[in-house]
Amino acid sequence: MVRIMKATTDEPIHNRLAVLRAERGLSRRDLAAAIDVHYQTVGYLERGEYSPSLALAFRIARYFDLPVEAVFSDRPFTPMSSVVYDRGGDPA
Amino acid sequence: MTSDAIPVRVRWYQRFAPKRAATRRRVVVAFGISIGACAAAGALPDAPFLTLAAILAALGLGVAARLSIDSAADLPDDQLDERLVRERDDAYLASYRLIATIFVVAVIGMGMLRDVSGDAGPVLDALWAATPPLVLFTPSAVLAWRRRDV
Repeated sequence: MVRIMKATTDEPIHNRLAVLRAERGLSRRDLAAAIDVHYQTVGYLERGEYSPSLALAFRIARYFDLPVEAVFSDRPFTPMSSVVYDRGGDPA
Repeated sequence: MTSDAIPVRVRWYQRFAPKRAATRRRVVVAFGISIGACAAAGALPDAPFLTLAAILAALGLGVAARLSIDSAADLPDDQLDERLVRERDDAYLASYRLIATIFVVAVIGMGMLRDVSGDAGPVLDALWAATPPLVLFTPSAVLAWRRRDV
């Protein structure tokens, strides 16, 4: 029997877009122009109100020069500050 | 979508477009009322100028709703990003359901009126008057209603 997987938009995709954008001092319009979307779409993505297609997710990751799993995840991200301090790293 | 599609130059008429969600919703409500007015005026006997005025008002409010969303309901895929395409397609689905419901109710009304009074003309006239703005601008009105402030 063939089972058809139901497409769902209920599963949230978490992302680090806001942090990455702030780190680089980019406005939403800057990022939107770089990844070729409407600037409001960046806001929707950051708030988790819209899950990007795989193509857009890769485009965003490529823009930040990061692997896609560093930008998007199906599980909540650990805050960056916790990652840095828990490893005993020097935040400076 | 290409970056060229992001509107940079503001045309003169876009200055009058509603910018806030609350204003957009007021325009959509006024559009809905004007559609009702078109139908009511169309159903009245010997009121061509009133009907024409109602149709023009509805068309004007429809244009305002369309401008408030940067005409996103009428743009092709390559001028929208993937979220806007999905938003537009959802709006068209909702519009189709709304318009189909109105037409089904009107057809049932015509049938009932014909059986009762022998003349379904008033419902047909009401439908005739309300159809142009309804069909032309309902997708834009749905999008304008749904779009939030960011």
